[in-house]
Amino acid sequence: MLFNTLEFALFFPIVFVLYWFVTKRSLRLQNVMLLVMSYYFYAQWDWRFLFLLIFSTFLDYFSGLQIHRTPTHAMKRVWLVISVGINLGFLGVFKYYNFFADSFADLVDNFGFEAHPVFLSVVLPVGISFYTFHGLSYVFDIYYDRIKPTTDPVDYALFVGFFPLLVAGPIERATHLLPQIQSPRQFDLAKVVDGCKQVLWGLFKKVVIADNAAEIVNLIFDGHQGYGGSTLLYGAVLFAFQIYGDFSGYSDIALGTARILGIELLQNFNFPYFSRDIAEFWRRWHISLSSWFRDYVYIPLGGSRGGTWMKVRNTFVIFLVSGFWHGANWTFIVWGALHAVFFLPVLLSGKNRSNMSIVAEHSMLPSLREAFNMALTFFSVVIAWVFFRAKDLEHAFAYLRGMFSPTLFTKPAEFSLQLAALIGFFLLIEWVGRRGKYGLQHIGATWPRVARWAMYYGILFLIFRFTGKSETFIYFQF
Amino acid sequence: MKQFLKWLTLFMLLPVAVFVITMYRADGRTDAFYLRFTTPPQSSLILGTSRAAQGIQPHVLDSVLNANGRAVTSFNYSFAIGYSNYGAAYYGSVRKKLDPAAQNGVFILAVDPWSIASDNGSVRAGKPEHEWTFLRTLNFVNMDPNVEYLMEEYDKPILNILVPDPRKVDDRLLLHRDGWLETNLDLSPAAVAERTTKKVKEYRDTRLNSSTPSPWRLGYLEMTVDLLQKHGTVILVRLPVHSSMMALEDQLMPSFDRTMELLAQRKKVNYLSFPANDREWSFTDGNHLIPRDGAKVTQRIAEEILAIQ
Repeated sequence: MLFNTLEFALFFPIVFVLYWFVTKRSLRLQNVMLLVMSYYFYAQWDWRFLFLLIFSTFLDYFSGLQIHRTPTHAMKRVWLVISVGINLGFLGVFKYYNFFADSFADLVDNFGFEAHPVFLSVVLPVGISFYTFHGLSYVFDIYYDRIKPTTDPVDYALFVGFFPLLVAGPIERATHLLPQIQSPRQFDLAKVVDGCKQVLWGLFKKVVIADNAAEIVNLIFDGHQGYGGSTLLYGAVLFAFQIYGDFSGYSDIALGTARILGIELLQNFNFPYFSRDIAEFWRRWHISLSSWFRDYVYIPLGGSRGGTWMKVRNTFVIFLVSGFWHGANWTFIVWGALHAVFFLPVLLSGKNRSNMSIVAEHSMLPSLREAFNMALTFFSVVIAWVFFRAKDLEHAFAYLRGMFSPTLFTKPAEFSLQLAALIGFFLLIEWVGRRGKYGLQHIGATWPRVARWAMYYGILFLIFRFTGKSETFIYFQF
Repeated sequence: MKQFLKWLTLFMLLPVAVFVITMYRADGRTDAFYLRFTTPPQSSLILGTSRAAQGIQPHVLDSVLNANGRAVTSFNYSFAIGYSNYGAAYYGSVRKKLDPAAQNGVFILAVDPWSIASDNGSVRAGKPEHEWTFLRTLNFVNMDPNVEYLMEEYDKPILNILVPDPRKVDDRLLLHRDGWLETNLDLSPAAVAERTTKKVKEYRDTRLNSSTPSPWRLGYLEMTVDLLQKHGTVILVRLPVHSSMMALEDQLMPSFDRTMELLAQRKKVNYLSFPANDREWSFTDGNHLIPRDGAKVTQRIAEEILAIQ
């Protein structure tokens, strides 16, 4: 069930009524209902993988209890290894097995031998990378004594399976979400209205920006041989907007629906394309994943406290792992490596924390220097996106070769004025609203109701008038 | 909470009103399929791909049959190649569209080699064609207005129905309430020749290479015959096509007519095959009959049905 479907438009009001009217008096009942509806939501995709989700949930729940109860450090470690091993084992089988088998065969082939690997014909369970990371953060936090385990399996199962975040994040932490699940939620009009606005803005990003961009992006990437450099650059830039509209749109809808139910999820995006350097970009893009890797991989490896070599090693590790998390393809690994290459000069020169506040915080427009830095960062990110979008490395390199050719300075063969206008409107709202948690949050807050509603109606009109051909959310595949 | 519900209701009044009006404004110009999902279940059906959708005209069939004492109200439930080839999805959809109480109905099943072949090249998002056709996913096929279709399957922005994009208005197609898809194309010899060349090239270069005869589809054709036979007279029809298209079909399945004859014998139904005859029939693109000849072929089919009786 996708957020932008009729099914969800019927599903969510039912959840809303059951949540705020039928089960409101009992926290227990409210959580059980939310869990049942979350599992129903997940089963709409493929009910068979519900068993995998339930197994993974109870594995981590039970491991968490055992880690906490076991008195010796060695036994705690055993339970941690069991939990992490099985979780990563599932991820490995479903997501990475074929990649490793294929890569091994290629390697053996290079040495003159012939390998006949057995490939698995399995579908990747939607959301497996997300709910596995939820569970892992929980057992790690218990192991490192950051939290105590919950003794309530329903609460824990809801922490992992809460439908807004189940299939594409944000990747929550038990320290943040579990206490909210365990406490009664009060209906707060301001928050519910804010949630509705965020859902509206998320829908706009997804169905207007991402889906319309996708049509042209698919055309250009699939037929890249026939296009000149300027069109290929246009396709890459559009992909940057597609993936941002798609994923941050999804996150906005997830955060908005959760907020309507009185639950705050972690902010996942913070206007990443207004970043002035790559370090800032990574503080603003897919924040819940970046911080997960920072806390559970980068810092345990020593972070940036060691010498230059350790900084370089840790930076590459975190970016390569992050790339690999996205998918079993060398393109994602190169995408990660490229970001490591972009990031290292900023880190090694000690400037990785020089842009901590939002750009042009106290002015309407950025300075020329800020504008230049934003453009440079955006361009670097666009180059890396080519690898992310390409089918394989050959495709990516051919695309980039075509892009950086003399035809880069010709008129693009594909160009949509309508889409350019929509992206212009989108960027305007994001820029004006960049001090909020999402673009639309504070815009019109002080306007008279008539004007505010006119703006919301305008966005609704754009959504229903310019919906692109429905594409599934990109991050569902991860 | 009360305040929220009050403001939400007030806010939603306008969008809901626009939405309802939009749903009711959808008509035969909306797209080539929509109206077929808005009628009640039917007791007489015309099945097939776009050849049948454009070629067999229910009003002609009904008038001939009614004039000869056979009270029939037929409905064209044909779609397009890739969507309504015989298979699980189409079979399931036909079951939904068929009135379970139908008796003495007339069921015309248009057949051709493409409709019982699997197109291995037609894969979208990793799924073969019988997986992605909307006939598989559409739950409601007898609902007016059909909100499910318009929200889930209509491939343009929904407000396009109310405020059509003037640059994209296509008045060449009109879907009638009885399911017949009327075309209004330039029929000058040059335009027809150009479209025919293009269509035949498309079929020869792509579809012919990627298509293979499918026992699975043939099995579903048989199941469809079995299903409909319980409710009336079934007839298999191979509609006329241009000789260049017929040549491609002969390459794909040289013994197609024989296969259909055997199937018809086995199921005790009639099989009517129109051989290629470029003098007798005119086409818009070598694949689809022009409306005038669609009426003519429908009349011939009606006469065949009367002869069966």
